[in-house]
Amino acid sequence: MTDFHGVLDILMFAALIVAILCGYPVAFTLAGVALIFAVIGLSLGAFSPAYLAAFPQRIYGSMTNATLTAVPLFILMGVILERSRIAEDLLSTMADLFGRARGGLLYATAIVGALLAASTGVVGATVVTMGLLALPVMLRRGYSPSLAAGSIAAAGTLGQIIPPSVVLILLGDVIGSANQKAQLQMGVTSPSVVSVGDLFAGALIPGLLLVGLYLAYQAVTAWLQPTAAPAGESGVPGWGRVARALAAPLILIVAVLGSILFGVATPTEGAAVGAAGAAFLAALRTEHDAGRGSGAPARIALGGAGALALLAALRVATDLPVLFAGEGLWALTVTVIGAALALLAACGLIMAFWILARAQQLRPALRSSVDITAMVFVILIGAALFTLVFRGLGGDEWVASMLQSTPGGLTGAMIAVMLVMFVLGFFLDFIEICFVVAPLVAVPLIMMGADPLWLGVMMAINLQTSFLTPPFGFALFYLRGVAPPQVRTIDIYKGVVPFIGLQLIALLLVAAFPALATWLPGLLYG
Amino acid sequence: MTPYDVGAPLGVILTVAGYALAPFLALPLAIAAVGEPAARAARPAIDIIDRLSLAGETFARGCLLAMAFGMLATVVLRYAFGQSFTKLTEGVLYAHALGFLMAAPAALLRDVHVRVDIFYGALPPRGQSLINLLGYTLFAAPVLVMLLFAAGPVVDLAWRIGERSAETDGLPFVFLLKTAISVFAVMLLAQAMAQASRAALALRGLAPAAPPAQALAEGEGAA
Repeated sequence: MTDFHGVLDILMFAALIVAILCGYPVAFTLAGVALIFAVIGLSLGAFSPAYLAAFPQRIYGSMTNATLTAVPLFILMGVILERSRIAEDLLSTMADLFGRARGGLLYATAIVGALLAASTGVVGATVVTMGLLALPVMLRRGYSPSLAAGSIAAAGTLGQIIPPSVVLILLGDVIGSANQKAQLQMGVTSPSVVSVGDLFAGALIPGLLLVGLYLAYQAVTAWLQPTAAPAGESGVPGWGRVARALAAPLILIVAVLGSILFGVATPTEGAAVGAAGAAFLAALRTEHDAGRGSGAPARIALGGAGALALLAALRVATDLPVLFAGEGLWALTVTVIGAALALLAACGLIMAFWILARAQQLRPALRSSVDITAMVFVILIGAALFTLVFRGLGGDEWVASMLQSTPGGLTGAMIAVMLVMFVLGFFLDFIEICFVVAPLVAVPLIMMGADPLWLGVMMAINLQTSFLTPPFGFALFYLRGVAPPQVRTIDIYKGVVPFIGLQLIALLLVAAFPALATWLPGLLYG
Repeated sequence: MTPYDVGAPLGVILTVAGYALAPFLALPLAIAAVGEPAARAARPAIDIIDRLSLAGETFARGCLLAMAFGMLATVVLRYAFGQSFTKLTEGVLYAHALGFLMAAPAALLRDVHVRVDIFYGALPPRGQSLINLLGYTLFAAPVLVMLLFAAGPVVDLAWRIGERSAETDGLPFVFLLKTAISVFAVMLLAQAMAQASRAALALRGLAPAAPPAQALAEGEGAA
């Protein structure tokens, strides 16, 4: 029976790589290769059909996984935000602010990338916006095309490492369940839990570290090669304009990231607040652009946003939940005010969506969101069948024994896993690596003594790098799509090489100082 | 009357219908083999399937909107008023699950599902059509048919016991939610068949099926 273990499972992985490169949608390829090997295993008596019978239950599991409900909401938030042109305002203001310095536009892209990353969690929008707006300006001012393109691609990927981010949600779910399994197998009596919120907190400092590394590299390059990033002339923006451009992202960061990090809201709840916030901002912007900034719909939407903020303030100022259940005049007054604010907020939000619908923006935004969501979850389903069959063929034991026999113990195994993920990142995108590789290696690594939180952050940095590695890096794809023709594809590839190096430096730093990942979650959640 | 009183005969009817429609799964290969005679049967079928998938996506958009409002309501009720309703929480979960399941076929129609296109992107159109035809035959069709067979007993049991939420104050519709897995498998299978038929038509140099008007007109904003 077990003679085929360690043969079929390895063949299956090899077949997957070959099949995936053919270009049929990844989700079906994952599941299809798995099914073919399940049939081979069945005919050889090396596989139990019970694993296939478990497939629908796995799908049902991902349908009812509450953690994953954050994914469509964050995607919706990102897609709506993309239409609110916050990124454009931010970018032009920052470009004016830093433009007179040597390499100034490089700093502007890194800072805007970081600010947008902390407000939302999708990569495409940031890269596209900066590629459309900043890249032509940089080229006109004589910036080196590869330096400019690399800076933009790298700044765009910050969205995946700085929370909130879709990568961290998916990874948090995988690491959380791997941690449970590992502790169960080790017989831990009082298991600890790793949540998406923990991973958000853990990734914040490494994310900011990356921003620092980018800026340092850009400053050194601008200083060493003045011709690659010359100083330019630009109007000095007044503080009022800077404050206005910063207001929207900062409000979203405080409301969404702040409430998640301080434990007020779960990531899913934060995502819902973020989606509402993005809808308010996009609606107000739409009305403003159409010259109806002071019309009734805009005022109702603005009132709704204000009511939502006042409701939060009321909750902070008074013990509203207790008063709601309590008696007496004071309790009644506060309750009525609270209920009225909630009602106003609801009306405002409906009005905001109505404004977006009238401007023909709602339907494309929803369509784009459900498309991306379906794409992610269908891969999740395909990967579920793949891992089921891989387990059924004894592949997880093989992976575990491989990792345990790696010379150098945990350090050696971590290096091997990080190397494999890095190499796979050249061909696959983060969703497949996250759903196929991460669950297989996380359990043995945690059992070998890896801190799950640290492991998650290491994987997140690695996955973020996969956005940058040619030929199949998402950020490069998006940038190629919008870059002017005089920027050659090879310029983009050359430009990201130093940033991939910076990613590896960050990975080494977090590996050497795990506190970078574990200190903040420990501080916030004890 | 229990759900199973309705579900059992309905299940029999749908199973018979499924077997009756099963030959359609061979349409892409039939087009590749015999050309125009099979194509004449395929074009109207593709049109019907496209419409069905687009209807599924319209439903999914509604689900997403409902989910966003539902989740925000959950936040406000819990955070501001200390109230929580299991039915609302589960409703959000249902909207989420139904949303991504029903959006998947239309995403296939618009070719949104991720491909690794290092080689695929460089292939001539005929090569791409061949990959799509082979991918359907070897991967998509067997997997979804297997899912349909595997889901059968699960759905049947759920209807038999009228499965409801594990929470006493939850929604009593778990059996319907589980049925969505089978619906998803059928819709995705149909759209995969339609896409493979398109590939086969292109491969044989035959006239294409009517383009899905709605998808082309509004699909510009899709990722």
